[in-house]
Amino acid sequence: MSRKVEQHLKKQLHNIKWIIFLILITTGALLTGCTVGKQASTEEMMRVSVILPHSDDDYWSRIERGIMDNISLAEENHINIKMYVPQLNYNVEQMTDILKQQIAEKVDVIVVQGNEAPDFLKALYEAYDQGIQIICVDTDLPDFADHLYIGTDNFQAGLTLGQNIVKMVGDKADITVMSGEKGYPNLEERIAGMEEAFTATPQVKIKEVLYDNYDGMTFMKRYNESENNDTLVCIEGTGAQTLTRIFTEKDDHFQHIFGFDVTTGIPLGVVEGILTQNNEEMGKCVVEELVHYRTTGSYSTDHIFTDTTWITRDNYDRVTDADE
Amino acid sequence: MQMNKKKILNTVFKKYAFGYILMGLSLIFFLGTSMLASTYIARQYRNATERMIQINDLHNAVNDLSEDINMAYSFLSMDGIDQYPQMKSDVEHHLENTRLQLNEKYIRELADLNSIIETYICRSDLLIADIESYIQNSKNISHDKLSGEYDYVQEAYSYVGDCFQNVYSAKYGQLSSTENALKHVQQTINLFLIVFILVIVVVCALYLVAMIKDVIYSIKTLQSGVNSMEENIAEAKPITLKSSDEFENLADAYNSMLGIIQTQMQKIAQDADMKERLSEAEKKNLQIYSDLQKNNLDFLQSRINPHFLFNTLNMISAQTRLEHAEKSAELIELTASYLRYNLDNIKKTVTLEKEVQNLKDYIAIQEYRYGERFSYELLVNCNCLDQSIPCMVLQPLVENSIQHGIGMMVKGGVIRVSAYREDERVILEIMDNGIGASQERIDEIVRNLKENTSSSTHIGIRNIYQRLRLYYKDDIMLTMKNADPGLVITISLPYIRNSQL
Repeated sequence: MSRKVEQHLKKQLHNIKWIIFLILITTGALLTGCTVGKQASTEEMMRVSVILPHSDDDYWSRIERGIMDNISLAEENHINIKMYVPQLNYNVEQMTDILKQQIAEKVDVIVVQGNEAPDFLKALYEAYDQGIQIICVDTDLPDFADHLYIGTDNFQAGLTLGQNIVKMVGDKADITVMSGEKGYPNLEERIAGMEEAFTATPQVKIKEVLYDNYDGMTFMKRYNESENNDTLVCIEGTGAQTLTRIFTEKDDHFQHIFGFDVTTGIPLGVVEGILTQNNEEMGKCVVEELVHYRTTGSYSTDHIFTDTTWITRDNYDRVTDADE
Repeated sequence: MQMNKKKILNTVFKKYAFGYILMGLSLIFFLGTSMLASTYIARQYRNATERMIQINDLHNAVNDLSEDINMAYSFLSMDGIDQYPQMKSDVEHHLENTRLQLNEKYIRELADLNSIIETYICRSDLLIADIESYIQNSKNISHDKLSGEYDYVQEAYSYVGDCFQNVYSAKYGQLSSTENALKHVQQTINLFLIVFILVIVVVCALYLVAMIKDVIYSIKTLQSGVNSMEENIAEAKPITLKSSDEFENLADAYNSMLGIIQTQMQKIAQDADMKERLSEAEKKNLQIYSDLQKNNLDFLQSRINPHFLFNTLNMISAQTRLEHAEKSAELIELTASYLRYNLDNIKKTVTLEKEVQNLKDYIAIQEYRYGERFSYELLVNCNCLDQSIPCMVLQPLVENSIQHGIGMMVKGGVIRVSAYREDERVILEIMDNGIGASQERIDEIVRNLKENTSSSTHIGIRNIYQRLRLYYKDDIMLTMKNADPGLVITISLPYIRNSQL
């Protein structure tokens, strides 16, 4: 075979290679479009179950938003987060059942709001004993050795609220506190913080604490029945939210009304002051700490306190504009 | 690429073949892609269905296991306990399939289901072991404990049911999204194939049209070239064809042939022109030579006054007769006659008769010189006496015979001059019996005469030959041959009657 013919054949071979390459590329590109939704799962996925007590409360939906906004970070680190909500808001029995199911499903991490109801706590202990990581959000359990707490420093929040109430009501006030279901330590801590703030002003007193006010009907029933005191403090978000839905201006039933988290009543004059928590920050911290745990095997700390803000009519516009 | 194309597609057949190969490959690609796409989509559907069937099988196996546990607990049945390992094995077998599904694609609901079934089995193991112990010895295990364990198992079973619902929901959702994705893929592939086939059809059509146009153009170009050659081959122009196929080769061959023909034609024309110019130059040279001779003669004639010379010679002749010197007088008269002929007729044509008369005068003079050493014979046929002939043709030839032939002989020399007609030609023949010449010498002389080669010898014969050629327009023939002894010169002339006669 002459050199010229050999070179010619080599060129031909080169051309044929190019044609085959182009056909393969085209076919590959076509078939790549067919692999929609397929993902590699070489690394074992870390399963995380987040049990939220409320489905439509603006408070918990903001925590959920904080998690979902950072869900891609979790997915990048092979962390699968699933949300669970009881059919009835704040229903401890249903939440306990969900918790037990997660234990049976042997998930890796459970994120819950701390609750000292016996069955719930028992289930938490069972999970803890099985080696499931427990992260408490919003509400810590002082007597339970959870692995991580993310949320407000509730005693400090109560203290801040109390101090601001004193500033606004003066030296004397008879206070009714509307709380949620019994067994939530965060609410108790807030009340404790408030009482600490009132020690310097003996005439400012908490006269009564009313529980089980997690729905609007119950709250309004208690609101209307309460006649002896001049100041109302809604120690969790449901109270201020319900009042804002019922009234369009200040109601004379109480001289002063203060609350937590829901601020829409402030410009209407329905409530005078609200202490808000940074819920989205809580959700974000959950994801960040899960990633930290996934990559290092531990959390950055055993508790993360998020910020609170005292809002009145004076700073309402500035703070809400900044939030927007 | 252009170079490669030129090299590869260098025939019309290859060009056509390339077009058909392109279409064939495109068709294969089209069919292959369709087949691959169909296979892929069918496989996806089959996989999805198989996964659902696997989950359903797992569900059935878990239900069977649950029934078995219920039978064991409710009826304290050993059959239930005995069948439990097999039932559990079935569940674990199906569980393995769902684990493989998880490896392919992670679904949280499926992962939860797998885990909860594991929990269910784990709790069931404890319950079955305790039931077995209870059956064997009811005192060892309390009824409350068994009841608690059963509730614990049933709690897990209720979660299993929930999880199956979740998995079915997730799977149906996934199936729906897969179906949508596959629909999208099918539509994309269909669109691609339609566009592809359209592009290929357009490309192939354009290619074939371009190729047919090329062929038609090549044929027309060749045809126009042949037509132009047919009309005027000298003006025909080469054709330009860059088709890189047989037509280009044909065009090259045509151009080459045209070039050769035109070159040959030019050469022939140049040769003809050259010959014509050479002929003209030769004629001019002869004219110049003739003019020169004439001038020389005119010059000589201008130097000699013939009447003075003849009167003088006549006076000398008369005086010698008075002094009774008869021979001298005759010799002078002969000389005067010879000179008169020469001087009067040098530029004219004369009759053969006059030329013979002059020859007689010349021989008479030479007889006085050579005496008895030679004799001569004049055999002139009367039918050629009127032959027109340039002056001074015979005398120089006879003079040549006397000088070179018989001049060296002591006696017996003979010169014979013959003139006769052969049809329309007149033959002059001068023969002597002198020393002659070798054949090589004769050939050389004849060659010199015909080629008109400049030579210092035989000027007289060459002069006669050239004059005869000019006068008779080359229609003469001069031959020399050895007569052994002596030499014969024969001249053949066309018969031309002299009007002076």
